[in-house]
Amino acid sequence: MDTPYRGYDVLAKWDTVSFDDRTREELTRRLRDVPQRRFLTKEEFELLTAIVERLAPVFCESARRAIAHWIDDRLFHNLGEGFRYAGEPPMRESWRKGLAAMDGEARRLFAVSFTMLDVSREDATLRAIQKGAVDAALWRGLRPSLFFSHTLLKTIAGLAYAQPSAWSDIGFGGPASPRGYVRLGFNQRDPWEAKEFR
Amino acid sequence: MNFEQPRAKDGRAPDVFTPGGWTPMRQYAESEPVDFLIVGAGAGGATLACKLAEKDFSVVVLDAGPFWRPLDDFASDELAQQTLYWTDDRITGGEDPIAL
Repeated sequence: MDTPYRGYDVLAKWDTVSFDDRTREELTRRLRDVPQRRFLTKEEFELLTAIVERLAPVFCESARRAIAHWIDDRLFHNLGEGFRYAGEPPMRESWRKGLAAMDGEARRLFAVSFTMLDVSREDATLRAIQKGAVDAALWRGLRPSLFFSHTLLKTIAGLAYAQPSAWSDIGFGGPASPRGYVRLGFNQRDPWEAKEFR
Repeated sequence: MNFEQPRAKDGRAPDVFTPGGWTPMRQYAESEPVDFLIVGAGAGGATLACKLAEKDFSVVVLDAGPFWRPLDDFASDELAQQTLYWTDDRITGGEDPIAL
């Protein structure tokens, strides 16, 4: 990724007081133990992977690959975010219906599965869904633009930025504890923060 | 750690200032009257319970979540801290529904 923080690697601080043992444990597990697919079908998972590839293209490959696995893991554990919009189905049902409908839109627009589309047709399909220019019957009560922005995009972005490689790209300092930051004024930076080159 | 298992029991509660430490905790039988019953040990409930107990009132606190040990349980990481949140579905609706 093109970044003004070139040369910065948040994990270079791994063995310093920027990280404590508990945080190191958590991140080691996150990067090492990417969960196996257990909830989505193979077809649903391949579709989700293709969607993630298109919606999170700036992240490095290993980071992108983990995202679909983590979504599947959340669905397996039925671990939601604590609320849903009135009229929307519960999380698992939302994802199942939403993925099926996205593939349905690809077939409606281009007569093939989303996973078979080239990049420009993938984008055309995603844009139609984001704008709600869809065949409502395919969505079975789900609101397409809400599914796209609230469920799909927000989840993918949240998980993409759970990865240290993405922190390095945006100059994020990593753990706020135990060392934290002390030079908080305008144009100030602590020596252990990322340096921006413009 | 199995967070389903209660930690505050048998007359002691986790000491949040010491890794693995304990602090004495008063307990009351279910039939025993107390001065205050506080529901929810968040920033408000826990602080109030502490102040009341320090003034020698008898206080019982009910909380649905685990009794965290911040020094042992918390990673300084956004995703890891999701374990703190209430994850059962609440419904948000009306003309301008907010994300909770």
